[in-house]
Amino acid sequence: MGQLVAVGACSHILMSPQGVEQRAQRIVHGIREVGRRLLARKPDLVVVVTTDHMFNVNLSLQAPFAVGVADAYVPFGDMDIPREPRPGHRGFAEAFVAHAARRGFDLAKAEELRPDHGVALPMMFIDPARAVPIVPLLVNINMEPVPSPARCHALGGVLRETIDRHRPGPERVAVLATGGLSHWLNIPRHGEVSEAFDRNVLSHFERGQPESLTRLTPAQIVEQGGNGGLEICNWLLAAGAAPGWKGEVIYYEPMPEWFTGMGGLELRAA
Amino acid sequence: MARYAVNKLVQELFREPGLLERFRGNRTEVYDAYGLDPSERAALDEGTPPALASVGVHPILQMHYLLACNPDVAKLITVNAYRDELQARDAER
Repeated sequence: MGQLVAVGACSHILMSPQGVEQRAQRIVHGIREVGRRLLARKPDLVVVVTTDHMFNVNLSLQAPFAVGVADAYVPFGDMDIPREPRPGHRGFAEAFVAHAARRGFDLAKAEELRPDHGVALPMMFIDPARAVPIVPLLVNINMEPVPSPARCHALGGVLRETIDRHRPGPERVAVLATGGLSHWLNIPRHGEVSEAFDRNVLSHFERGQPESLTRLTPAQIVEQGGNGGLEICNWLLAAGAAPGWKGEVIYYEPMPEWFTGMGGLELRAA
Repeated sequence: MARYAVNKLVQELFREPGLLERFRGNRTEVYDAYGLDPSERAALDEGTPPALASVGVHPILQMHYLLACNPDVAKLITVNAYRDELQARDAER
């Protein structure tokens, strides 16, 4: 059996540091620290659970969940992210899709995924050498109906089963969730940040009880944390792979200047 | 109810080779190609989030449109300010 060796989560956007230099620096350091802890566990691959911002998964074909099964990924290049290729891990991705199908999740497979900032931005800082293969796992929060928080969390459990039951013994797997925290993007309350929502989410992870958040409906998350707040579903999916693990918050900055709450944590086995 | 056509145009701006340049050069030709109605053309011409929302452009695609049409927005949402730091880190390795 393979081994889940690390789980982390972080926000996945940066904007101009002008006027917010110190906080921007703390966020960059925070993303790096999340990555340092992940890579310190010497993973053979990182499953990056994130949201595509309609550069790949748009209205033309709306898949609730999609898994990159390619051998390599070239970033889409949004936010001026360099289009430098990063290796994929086809074997793990195919095994995950196959096991998920047996467990009631029919996942879309993507050969031509060109990761946007949801994958590419954090990985720029976490693995600038582009050495560790990735498996992108996309949660489509931009469609109706949105995959429910409970469904995302359950898929995390299936991800863990894949690692435990269907991967070779020496394989070491890390999971990184990206996105969030609260933000309202081009809907009423555009630009707001809810520090209360963000701290509540982080607190649930710190207590090792993120599954409590799966009782929220997508509409409740949008009400409390904005449409971008739905990206906590990515975090809940990662947590589903690590039941009982407790979070250590590495950074949090409410960033009204960037229209979003920014945070990151590491989950550790109890 | 939003029509798909206007969303299709916006979501293809960054995906279809040459479309963004065609759009910047001759919007009317692109509007015609996508079959936009007068209200959709007016909304894209105005280009504000409320105008885009009024014809049902998806909130994320509104962001695409703002990035495509407003260089000041694109200058804010970029990793360029962090590249020096990344390069310095590369040099340390």
